[in-house]
Amino acid sequence: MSTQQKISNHLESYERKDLLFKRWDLRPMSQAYYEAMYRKFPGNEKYFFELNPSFVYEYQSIDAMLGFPFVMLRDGYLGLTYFFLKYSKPPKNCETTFLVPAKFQDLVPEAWEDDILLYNFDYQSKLKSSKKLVLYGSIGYETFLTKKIDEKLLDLPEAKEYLLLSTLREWGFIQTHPEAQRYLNFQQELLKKANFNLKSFNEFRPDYFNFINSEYSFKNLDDDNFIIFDDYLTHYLSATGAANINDSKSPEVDIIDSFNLSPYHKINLGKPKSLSNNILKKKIDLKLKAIPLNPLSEVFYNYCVEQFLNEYKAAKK
Amino acid sequence: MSKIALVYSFEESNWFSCVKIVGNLLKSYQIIQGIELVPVNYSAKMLATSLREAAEEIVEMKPDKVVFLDHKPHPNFLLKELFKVDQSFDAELVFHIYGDFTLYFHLWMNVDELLVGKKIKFLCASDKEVNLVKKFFNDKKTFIEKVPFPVDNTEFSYLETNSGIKEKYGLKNEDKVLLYTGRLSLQKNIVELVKIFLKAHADKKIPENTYLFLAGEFDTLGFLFADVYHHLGEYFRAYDRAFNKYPDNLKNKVKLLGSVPNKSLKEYYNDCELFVSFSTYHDEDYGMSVAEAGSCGMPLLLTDWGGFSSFLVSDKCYSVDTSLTRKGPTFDQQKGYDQLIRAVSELEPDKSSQYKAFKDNFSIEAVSDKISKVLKGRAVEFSGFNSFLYQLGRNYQFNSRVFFDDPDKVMNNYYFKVYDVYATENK
Repeated sequence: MSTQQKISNHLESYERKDLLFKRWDLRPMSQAYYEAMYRKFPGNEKYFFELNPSFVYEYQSIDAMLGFPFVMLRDGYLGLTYFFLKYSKPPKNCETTFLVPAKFQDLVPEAWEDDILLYNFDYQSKLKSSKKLVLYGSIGYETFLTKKIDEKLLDLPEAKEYLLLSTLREWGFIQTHPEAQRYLNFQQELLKKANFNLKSFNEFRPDYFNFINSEYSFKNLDDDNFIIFDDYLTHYLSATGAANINDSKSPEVDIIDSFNLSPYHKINLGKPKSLSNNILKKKIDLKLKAIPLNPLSEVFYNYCVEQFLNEYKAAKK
Repeated sequence: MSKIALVYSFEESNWFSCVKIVGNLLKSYQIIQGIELVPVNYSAKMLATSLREAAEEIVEMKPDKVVFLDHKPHPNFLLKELFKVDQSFDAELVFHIYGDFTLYFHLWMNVDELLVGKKIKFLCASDKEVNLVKKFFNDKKTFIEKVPFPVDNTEFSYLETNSGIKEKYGLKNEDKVLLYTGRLSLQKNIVELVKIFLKAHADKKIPENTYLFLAGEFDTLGFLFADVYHHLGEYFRAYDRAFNKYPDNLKNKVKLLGSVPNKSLKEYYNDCELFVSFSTYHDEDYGMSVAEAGSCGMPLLLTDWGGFSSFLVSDKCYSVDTSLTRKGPTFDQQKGYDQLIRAVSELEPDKSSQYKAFKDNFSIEAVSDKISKVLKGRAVEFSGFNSFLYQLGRNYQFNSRVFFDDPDKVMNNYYFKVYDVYATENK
């Protein structure tokens, strides 16, 4: 059965048990990982798609994933690096199709070729509003890997009014990374940039945030996608008809299927053209440098940051 | 001159239709002769001290009547303060009841003892809501009347000029457009509406130049009473899966418009031919968008459900039977199909008679007359809520889904006992 046929059959007859977040028996990989990711809320909030969008941390192991016909990984660089380092080839008799962000296809080892689909999103091109700009994403360490605060602010388009939607946490994903002070610094600089036309929201509740409509533009501040690639708020805001002004640097995929996620945006699925075995070099690195394979370890985290920046610089050249 | 304390939240509700309703009710009260209105703020964000101040303000003004206009917050918090400030407070209390009545049994239960013996009037927006609320009184003589939520005809009325809405979406002026406005939600039965419309097309029962416009955004409300919560995008995907099974020539007949600003809706209602909604939503005590569409002269194709039934005021209104099942409310899809074909075949360019019928029943002036009569009517001393309301209110304390049997995943007997009056028949 072709992948397209498998998807088509699944859409016809999927059941609640085929979607992780529709099940009652959720058990995360570890409580610590769950809590670290929860500091990224609402980026990691659930949204609906039949191909099971979920994060690596939500499964106890790959065996738990294999109970689902599809697992669409929403993780960013860190989670995917961890996943493919741990599982550099698919398990025997793997019937699950994994969906991986096309942006991070270089992390996928060649051995996974038959069990992988790449995905990216398309946003309806609309007249971008210069009146109101919603900025979202956690103001964590990872948000400023390739661009510091002043560079990020310089990149922002002019708007008459700015809205900052970011939960204020004391600590970041890594618990030794203080986040509150960074948040305040960012907010202060943004206030200046916005000429004080800034409204800040420290918590997100959809029913209190339903004034957003197509009159807005929006931008994810966390465009490096180090922790989260597929952010809930991107879907939430896209579904209102507002205009996404993030640069779509995601590589094109050879589209085999597309599905609307709202009247204003869709997901494209494609087969990888060619995969590399870059991850295997990292695997050796880990051994040589005695780096623990643990997404919550600060040593592993720092190693991934270093690798991410190296790859970013190489790609820019 | 009779003095009336008008209690409502000065902050706008999250529910847009309730913002409109409160504003229009205010307009209806304002044109009543011989009364003095004193607005009192009562909002969910008030602290205890502000609540006390609001209660003191009401007691000090010595009103003849206190009218609770808004749907939120529930009157109980202010009533408790009011009777703390003055135990013998005896002004007449008037409550405008909204569709969320069945979510607040426990709150009504909490103020029951305070209300017994007081002069009270309950005002519901539709006949079926009157019948639903009546079920919870001890005494059948309790004052309860239908007072529709008014439509402001300066905002929604019949226009003889064309606003160019069809051209905006690439259609010709002679094309026929069926219009739905509101939330695109599970209990609004949007998927079923699209299927019925496209089946009528596929069967060539309606002219080829007939289109369906859906104005509104998809939501995540699901079916609260049956423990069905939707995630972001879930209902849209259900719609998209169903929609994509049709060939392109049929898909082109349906247009998703997204959210249309309220101030532009008048143009849509005037330029389109038929308003259609197969909603079986539980809070459908009225239907502000239906009232507004009718006020622009649109013929209506509606489910005979809840407040919708009160809109069947002329021969330009077509109804579809509804019933309750263990899985929740449903409507007769074959009848929906037949009525849709019939309504389209009977479309007429002149909408003035429907406009007049709605003006006579739902305009600010018509509702103002109704309120004026209700205010003059003699209030009966309230003899309290009955044991049924207490039963449901107490159940709510440990299970917020009082109409649902969790182990069997079906609607329970309470559901049938309360909502049978909303449906056409009870299966």
